[in-house]
This record gives sequence, C-alpha cells and structure tokens, in this order.
Amino acid sequence: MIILVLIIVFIGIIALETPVMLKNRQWRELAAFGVLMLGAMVLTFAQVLGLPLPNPTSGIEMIFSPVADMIKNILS
Amino acid sequence: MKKDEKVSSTQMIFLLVTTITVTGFLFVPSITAQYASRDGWISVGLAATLFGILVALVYTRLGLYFPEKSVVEYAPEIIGKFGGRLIGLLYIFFFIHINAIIVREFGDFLVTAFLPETPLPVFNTVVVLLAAFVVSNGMEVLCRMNQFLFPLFVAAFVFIVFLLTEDVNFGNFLPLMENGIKPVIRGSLVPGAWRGEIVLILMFLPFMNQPREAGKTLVGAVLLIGFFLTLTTATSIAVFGPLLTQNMVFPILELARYVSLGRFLERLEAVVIIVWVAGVTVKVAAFYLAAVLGTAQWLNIKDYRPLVYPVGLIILVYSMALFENSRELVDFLATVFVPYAYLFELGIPMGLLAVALVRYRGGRKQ
Repeated sequence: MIILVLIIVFIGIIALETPVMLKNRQWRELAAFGVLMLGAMVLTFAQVLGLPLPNPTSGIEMIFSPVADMIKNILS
Repeated sequence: MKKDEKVSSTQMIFLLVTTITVTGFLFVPSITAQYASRDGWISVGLAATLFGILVALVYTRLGLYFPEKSVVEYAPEIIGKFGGRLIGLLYIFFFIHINAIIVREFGDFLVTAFLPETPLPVFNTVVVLLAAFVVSNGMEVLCRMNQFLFPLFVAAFVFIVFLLTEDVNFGNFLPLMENGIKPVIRGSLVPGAWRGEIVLILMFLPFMNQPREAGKTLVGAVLLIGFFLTLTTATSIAVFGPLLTQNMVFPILELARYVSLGRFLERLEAVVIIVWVAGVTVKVAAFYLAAVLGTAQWLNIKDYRPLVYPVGLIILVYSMALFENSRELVDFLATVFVPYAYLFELGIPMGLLAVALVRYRGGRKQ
C-alpha cells in the first residue's frame, strides 16, 4: 500500500520537474536531477521496507567521540 | 541560481536569529544546565557569545575575499581544485545532515509534547514539504516570510518571560561559579555550537545587497541570539532552579505551562507551538536552501530548482533513519555534535582563511 503511494508520489515529482528541463534543453540539470532522484528513491524504499540504510551518524560518532571524550576529560 | 536575488542586512539578521534561536530556546537550557548547573546563563550569555563573535569575524574576513561567491564556489580557488571540491562536498553533506537532525527535532518535540498518537513521519513530511515550497521560491521569499514571523516570535517570547517575572527567584543563581570556571566552559560548548550555525552565511553572503555590512550583521545577529537564549536559560533557572531545569526535556515549554495569571490566562504552551512550528519551517527552509544551492553550485548547475525535491526526499528519509529515539538524539547533540559542528563552523573556515591570508597578502587579483 505505502509502496504504491510512494510510487505515485515519485511519478508525480518526475512528471512535474522533467518537462521544463526537457523543453529548455538543460541536460546537466536533468542528469543531476536523475541521479539525485534515483538515490532518493532507493533510500526511501530501503527505509520503508526496513532495510539497513548507510547511517552517517555512526561514522561521525566513531570519528568524533574520541575528541568529545578528550574535551570531557579536560573540562571535568 | 538567480544571482539577482538580494536581501537587506536587517533581513539577514532576522533570518539568522530566527534560524538559531528557534531550536536553541527549546534544547539549549536543559543541556547547558546539565553541565553548568546554575551558572548556565553565564555559559550561554558570555562564553558562547564570545565564540559566536569569533566565528562571525572569521566568516566576514573570509567572505569578503569573495563577496560574490559562496564557500562551495570559492574553496577550490583558495586551496586548489581537489581539496576545494572536497570541502564543498563536506559542507553539502553537513547541511543535509544538520537539516535531517532539525526535522527530527521538530517531529520529536511535537510527538513528545503534544500529539503522542500521531506517527512521526507525518510531522516530518509536512515540514519538509512546506520548506520545499519556500525553497523553490528562493531566498527573497524566505526572508520576507521571516520578516513577517520575526516580530510575532519576539512578541510571544517576551510575553511569556514577562508574565513569569513574579515567579523569578534570583536566589537560584547563587552561589556564582561554585565549582570554578570549568563547568561554565563545558556548558558553553553546546550553545556555542548552536551559535555557530551562522555558518549559513558562508552560503548566503552573495545574497546580501551590502556585503560590506556582513561583519556588523553577523555580530548583531550573534548578540541578539545571545540575548534571547540567555533570557530563556536564565528564566528557567530562576523559576525552576538548576536541578529541575536539567531534568526537564523542554524547560521553555514547562515555563509556558507555568504561567497562570489570575486563573484566567493559562495554557500558554499553545503560543510556544505557534512560534516553534513557524520558526522551524524557516529554519528547515534556510538549511535546505543552503544544501540545494551548494549542490547546484558544486555540480555547476545554473538553476537549482530541479534539485529541490530529490534533496528534500533525502532529508526526509534521514530525518527518520538517523536516530532510533529522541533520547539518542539529545545524547548526540550533547556530546558528539560539539566537535562535529565546531569542525565545520570554525575549523574549516579558519583553515581556509589562513590559506587565503597567506595567498592574497598583496591584495587579490580581480
């Protein structure tokens, strides 16, 4: 059900955006839109279906938590 | 991108103040009180403001080398093609990530405080959709919308604080700096990271009709933000005391609930909601615009509007996927967020400025 709604929403967005770009021959815009839209669609479906998403927060935590701990040690 | 869109310095101050205060006044008082206890107002008022002014000066100095360009465009000119484009990409990532966090804060707040039965995606979708509409209309529309909202925001805020004056107990501030300066500094780190969200100016400077006034604008914005956030923190500590403040999730909401004037004027938290929803829409739109603009400039695209919906979808998905629950979110904000934000708000701009200072010592060739 939700997947059907999503597909309709995506088709709506694509139908809304692409005609203008095609008319104005903005190929760069079209390519960027296509790639980003594809990425967004993959992410949305992964989220809805409960598949694991690449989560930047865990990476950021890994890089920055030593610094955070260091600050904590200095200031306590 | 439409280069002819221009906004005035006042509009820029209003935009920055709304953008930062609106989430700050909900989350900052309790996080600060956790570290600095009753000295939280010093952390927010003095230490974080000093940091904010430092950041503002760095951005001004750096921005004025290239008043017509945003950081995504001028970073390659300063430190070379590869490094500059990497920095541009990092900033785009930063704006999208922060925006996902903001959208999550918005949804979490409404779910916890007001509408526990409504699923989180509903709020997130609504706010991203609204912001997408604003962004596709451009910077001028965003600033004008905010120009209308800002006085209401200030009025609602002053109103609540004013009604609480009879409950204020200044004894709660004593003793001053009981445990020395360290807790105060530690408490100022999170509000400092919030103050540093004026990093938006790195993307928005080309929109200013008077780029030379950027310094005054930024410092003015930092001082105003400092005033509002200090007022919130000081009021919640003065009314509730430090212990209660640090255990509340949203002290300002409790403050609004606490107002009771002659058993007649009550339940003012509705006012908080109005301010919050309107302000967060502006905030999400501002970061959204920065992300979309950055993406368009990074890819050398003239018109950013086709990218609005795809980027919005990515923000929406991550607003739900980044954190399991709101506890995790507050944890992230209180610990890892600090060095992460400082890297983008101070570290990278300072590095760029250092290189620019050396390279353009004898004046830049136009």
